[in-house]
Amino acid sequence: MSAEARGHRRQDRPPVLGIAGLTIEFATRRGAARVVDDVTLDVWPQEIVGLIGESGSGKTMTALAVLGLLPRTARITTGDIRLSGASLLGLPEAQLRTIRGRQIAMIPQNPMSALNPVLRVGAQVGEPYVLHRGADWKTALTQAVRRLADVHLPLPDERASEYPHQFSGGMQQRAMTAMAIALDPPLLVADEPTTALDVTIQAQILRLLREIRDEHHTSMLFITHDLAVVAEMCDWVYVMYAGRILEQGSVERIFARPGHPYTQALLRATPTGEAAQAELISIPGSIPSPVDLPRGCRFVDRCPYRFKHCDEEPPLLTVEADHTARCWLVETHG
Amino acid sequence: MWRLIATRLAAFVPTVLATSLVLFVTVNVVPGSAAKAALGIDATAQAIARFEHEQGLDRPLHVQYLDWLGKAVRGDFGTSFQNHLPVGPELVSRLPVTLELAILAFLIANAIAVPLGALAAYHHQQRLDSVISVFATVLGAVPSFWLATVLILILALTVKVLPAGGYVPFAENPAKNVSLFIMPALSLGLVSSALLLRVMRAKMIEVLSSDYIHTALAKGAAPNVVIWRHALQNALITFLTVGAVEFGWLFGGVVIIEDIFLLPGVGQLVLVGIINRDYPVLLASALTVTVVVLAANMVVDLVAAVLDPRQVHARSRA
Repeated sequence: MSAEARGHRRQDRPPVLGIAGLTIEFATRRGAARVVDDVTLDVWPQEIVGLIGESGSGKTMTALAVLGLLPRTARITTGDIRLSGASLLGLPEAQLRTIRGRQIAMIPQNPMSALNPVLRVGAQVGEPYVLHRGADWKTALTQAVRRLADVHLPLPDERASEYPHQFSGGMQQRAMTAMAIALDPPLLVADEPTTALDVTIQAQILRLLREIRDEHHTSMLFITHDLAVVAEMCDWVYVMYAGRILEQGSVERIFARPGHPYTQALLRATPTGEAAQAELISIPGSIPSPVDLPRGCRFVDRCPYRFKHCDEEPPLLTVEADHTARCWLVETHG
Repeated sequence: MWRLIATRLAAFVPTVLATSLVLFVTVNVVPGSAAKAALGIDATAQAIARFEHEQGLDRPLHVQYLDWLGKAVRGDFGTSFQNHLPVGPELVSRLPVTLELAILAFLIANAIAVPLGALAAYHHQQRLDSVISVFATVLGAVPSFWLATVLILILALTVKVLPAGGYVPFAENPAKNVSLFIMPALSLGLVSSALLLRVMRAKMIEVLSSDYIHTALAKGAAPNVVIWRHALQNALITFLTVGAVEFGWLFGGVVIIEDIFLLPGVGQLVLVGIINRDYPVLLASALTVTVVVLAANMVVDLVAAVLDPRQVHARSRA
């Protein structure tokens, strides 16, 4: 349905990433924990798509599923994940390995721990060339230096032979980005790429990621809990809560007219612009446990507007063009 | 790196000194008389007094210690109460035997522990992990002397492929030397591998769950690349520390195995020294064990520093 809504972006090819009805469950002692529930999501060419939610909403599990790196205990019960139209589910592990790093690359949350402490940065950045192109290490290192220059790391030649601990946090994230774009993958999955960084560095990394989208024509699934980052980065946004997509739409529309009470609460709880002057309002209560989900709307226990209908979960209702929300109270606007 | 070596060496000397003092006091405080052991239980009080005077055992303890220490630093470890031979040369001839045994056993232990531990960790909570863990538990429960006996029974007495015991210097006949060391090294190494395997497995499980392993997987690295290129070196850094302790245990704990396989090593000397209250022999051989263990620890620290670039840079900056 988002494809129709984003008709103006649609080209004569399938989305770079198409997730349809994805459900992921963990077997636990207290029964099946449904951490991702019927999630449908598209990333079109050159789009930066935000997947926003608090911890435990299932956004990282969704990203891991895209990479085919879910924990052993997790199981995809229904749904499909398609990369440029081709399904990834059911592919043998050996084939998935040829896709990871070449078709899909990841930018991690914490670059410090995501870099191997005992290997030189250049070897880590250049490794995709060895793994996927059969390059020798010398060639890989030359390519690594080139990529480090692409992400504006000063003195890339010298830096390539250093170890991660000799890098600052911002430089480490630049190195991780260089590694991710090494083979120009069509899709980048960025999992909270600026959360672990200083605010000033955050802005630099965000600028870099936008530049990569523009110059390398990369599409991005951008996972975050930070609405301010979404506002700055994304074209389209999915709001995830307790495994469910509660609202989706273009960033402008969602910020202008949030349809779901959860999104509204998130916006009130975010210190952006003028709102920073006003009192920040936190959302009472906490996210429900995935083994003990409410029967109807996922947000019902914390929602100030709940009424009898909320025992039944609403479908995604149209708020306006390019904007839907999963709430009975949504009023459709022209 | 050189600074690291220098600081380790600087710590080495006081550690050896402190150990020698503790050893000296312990040996002298432990009940039992060197004179009675040397002269027999029928010795007269007069004979005992004369022996103790001759050996300087009637002097105050601190005088005895300083006298011993002064000679020891010049390489003179005194003469045995029993056979009146100088202890130093005796030790020098025995040290290579024990070192060879300990090193071979250590290599065998690691050759088993590192790959199996890594494999078990990679298959954490799967069948292969359980199989390897049971194997380690069984190995760890077997006493090395029992294993030695079984090995002799099978390989020396039944199949007759290896000699049951004895010693030939490596320089004299390398093939014979190695064939004599296989069973003793296996008896020690197999048992010792049990602990090392568990340490390796635990360390590897920790490393494999770290973010940089996830990065490697996300790059499309295959399991063998993940284990050997990305995980092993990280796991080895802490594993080695335990390895050093284990090497110390091997070197100091070879007494029974040397005895079973008739290897003239340091362990036998310690045993004889204890039984006979032969203070010069006991002190010198115990101190040798200490020095080797300390040296092993130092080597391991240096190797760990080479494996871990963070240590080298942190120290050279400090």
